[in-house]
Amino acid sequence: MDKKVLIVDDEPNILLSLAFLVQKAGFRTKTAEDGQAALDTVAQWQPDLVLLDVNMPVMDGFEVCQRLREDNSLGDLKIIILTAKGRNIEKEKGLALGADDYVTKPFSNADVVERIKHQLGAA
Amino acid sequence: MPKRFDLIIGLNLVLTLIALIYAVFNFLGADASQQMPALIVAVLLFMVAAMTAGQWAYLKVFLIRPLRALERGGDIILSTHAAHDIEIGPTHELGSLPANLQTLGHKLAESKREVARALKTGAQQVTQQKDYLEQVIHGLDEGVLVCDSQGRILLYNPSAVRILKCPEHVGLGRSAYELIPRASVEHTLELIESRRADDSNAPTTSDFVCTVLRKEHMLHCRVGLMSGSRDGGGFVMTFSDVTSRQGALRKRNELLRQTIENLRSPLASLRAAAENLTHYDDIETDMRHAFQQVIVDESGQISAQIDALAEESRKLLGGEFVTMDIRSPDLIKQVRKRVATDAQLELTQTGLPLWLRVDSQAMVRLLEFYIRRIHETTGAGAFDLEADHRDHKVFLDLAWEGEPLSHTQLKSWEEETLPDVVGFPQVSAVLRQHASVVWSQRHPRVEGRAILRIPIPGAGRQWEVSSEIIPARPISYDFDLAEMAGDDAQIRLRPLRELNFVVFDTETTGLNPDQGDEVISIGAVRVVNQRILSDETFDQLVNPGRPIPKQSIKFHGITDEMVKDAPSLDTVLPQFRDFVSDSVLVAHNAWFDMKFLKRREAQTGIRLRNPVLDTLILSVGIHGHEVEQSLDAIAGRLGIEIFDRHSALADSLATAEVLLRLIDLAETKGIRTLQDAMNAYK
Repeated sequence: MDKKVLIVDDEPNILLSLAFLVQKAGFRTKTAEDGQAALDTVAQWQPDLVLLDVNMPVMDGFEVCQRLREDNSLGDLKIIILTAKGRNIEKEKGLALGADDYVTKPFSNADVVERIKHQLGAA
Repeated sequence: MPKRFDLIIGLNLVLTLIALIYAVFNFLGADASQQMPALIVAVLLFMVAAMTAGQWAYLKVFLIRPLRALERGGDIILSTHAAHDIEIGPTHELGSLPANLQTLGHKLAESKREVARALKTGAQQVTQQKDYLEQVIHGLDEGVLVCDSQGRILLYNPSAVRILKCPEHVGLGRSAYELIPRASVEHTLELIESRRADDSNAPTTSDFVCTVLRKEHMLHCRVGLMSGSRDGGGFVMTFSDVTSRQGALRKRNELLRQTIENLRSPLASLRAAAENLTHYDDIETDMRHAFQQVIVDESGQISAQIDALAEESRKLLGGEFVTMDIRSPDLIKQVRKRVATDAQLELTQTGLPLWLRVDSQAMVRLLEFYIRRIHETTGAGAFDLEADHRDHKVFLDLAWEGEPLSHTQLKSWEEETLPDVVGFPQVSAVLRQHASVVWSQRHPRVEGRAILRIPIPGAGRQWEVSSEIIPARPISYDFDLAEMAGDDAQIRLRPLRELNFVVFDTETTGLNPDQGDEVISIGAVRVVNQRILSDETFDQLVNPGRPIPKQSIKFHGITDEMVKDAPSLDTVLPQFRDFVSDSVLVAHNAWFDMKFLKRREAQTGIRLRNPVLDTLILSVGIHGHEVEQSLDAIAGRLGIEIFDRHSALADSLATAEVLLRLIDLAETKGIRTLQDAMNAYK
């Protein structure tokens, strides 16, 4: 069965490209444009991995990440943070809050796919 | 000489005359046949006498008198009046000697005049320059202190008094270290020295920020060595008050950061779309159009960003961003002063001192803000503040008893405004200014505690001073240490994590107490609840009552001069015992230090009956005998960077850090109690 990847970003343009890319890599995808939608989708759809942008209005990626990690039933869920802040401390913060990996914008498509595969043990 | 000459000539004449008279008598008394030779002898003798007299007169007039005149003149030229005209007649047999001497005299007179002129002009110039320098120093807005190698003030200007705001402590001969933290100055001077040792063209000055002792305000200081080394000629320090200087400088940084960040998202969309179009040939037409549209949209976005950047760049020019190097104790002290107004808040400085590169004023307000907010939210009142470091990164960790804060909570605080911070007073802006973020997590070492972590730029200088490789003391294990410790069995059964420690180190004149070596310094720090209380330290020089061997000074830097007014060990030991109280004593290679302290027991009646834990033995228990067990080697294994290995106190701080990490590791080896740790070598 194909693994499920939820892509969360408030920029429709990046969602379009990422969804296309991840599908081409052989995963099933869904997208969400804000933090709350992301939490809801995770609860209903139960993805294997969340590709999570940090900078979103209302509820940002860090908060989504922290909330997902507070839910013990989601122990196997992988989280990759996408950040537009190219600084190591953002990555460090993401990892401290429970993310498994991080990708800095702009990224290479191949890199994103490789990291997703690595996290899902499909590399 | 001339008198002796007269005497010789006179004697000559008298002898000739006697011979003449003798010849005349012979002539008168002789018979006719003998009268002729006698007459010849008498005439000859007379002629000899007459010639001698004539030569004498000639020498006297043409040689001896002129020589005397020359002698007098020479004396006068030499001793009183170089331009003196030698009084000598025109007739003499001295050739050009008088004239030459006369010329020499005139030349001497002339050069004396020149030297005098030059001296006068030089003195005038020096006075002028001194006046000028004084005027400049006096007129400077910056404070200036010139100090000798001991930090005693040799010169200061009115601005120094004004800026330091404590006129009672500014004075010639007073110690500058009553005003400016000694550690900041000395570390900076050391840094300059070490840079110059590597590169003789390295600058002779360096900057740092510090707090005025006993005051609230912060100084930006620049110190410089007066000659190549501190011992040579002391140092000059200029400083200004930077407590309230920020503004436009921060704005520049902020705009630059924002622009770069704003470019990342459109660039990400653009790149992803472009790569999709390139890499997949089988894209449906609709999708292809969508990606193309993305490219058009995002390119427009980026162009707009670039236009905005060009517009702003004019405003960005000029100015220097005001982050400066400051030692963490100085920063933490500032925070503590600010929260001290609230009786419910208590702030403890923990961890080892580190250099930080921050906008200190904004960072102090930021930390104060978090302490107050966390207090309001969680009720916590006792906080620890520590500058922690790992892999060349520095964190400011604010710790309290309880649970970590939620990201949402922290996020909402980031919108708030800090009082008294000019420029960008928002919490988020101050964080960004330091290229930082903030998060909360469980305490990495202590159960039941949470931390607020702010990564900040560490000042490069702590990794720059190449700590001199100091040969370690001979290492040996004293397995009796466990036995010689106090007999409180109960404390030995308590878990290591629950114990209070005093980690100490001594400096000594040499390695052999039995051959007269003595303690010259004791340094110690308290470790309570797994926290190094770097504020609660013991740091005392000891007069050893004997000269300090020169060859030992390179290990500890302590000279006879430094300990001559220090108390003896008999005075210091009781103070140390009071400091230790009932804590567990900890030292690296503890037998060595204990040996020095124990042998004074009989003399002073001071018995340290505390249990003694040796980090060396603990480390052997964890890592085995096979690996090197010097403090530096252990620190290296545990990933601890030791920046400062200069004094007993610095070494005990480093040992304390090692102790905490060893305790973490010890549990994995089943070493839980003090008893386990003391017997770890088994």
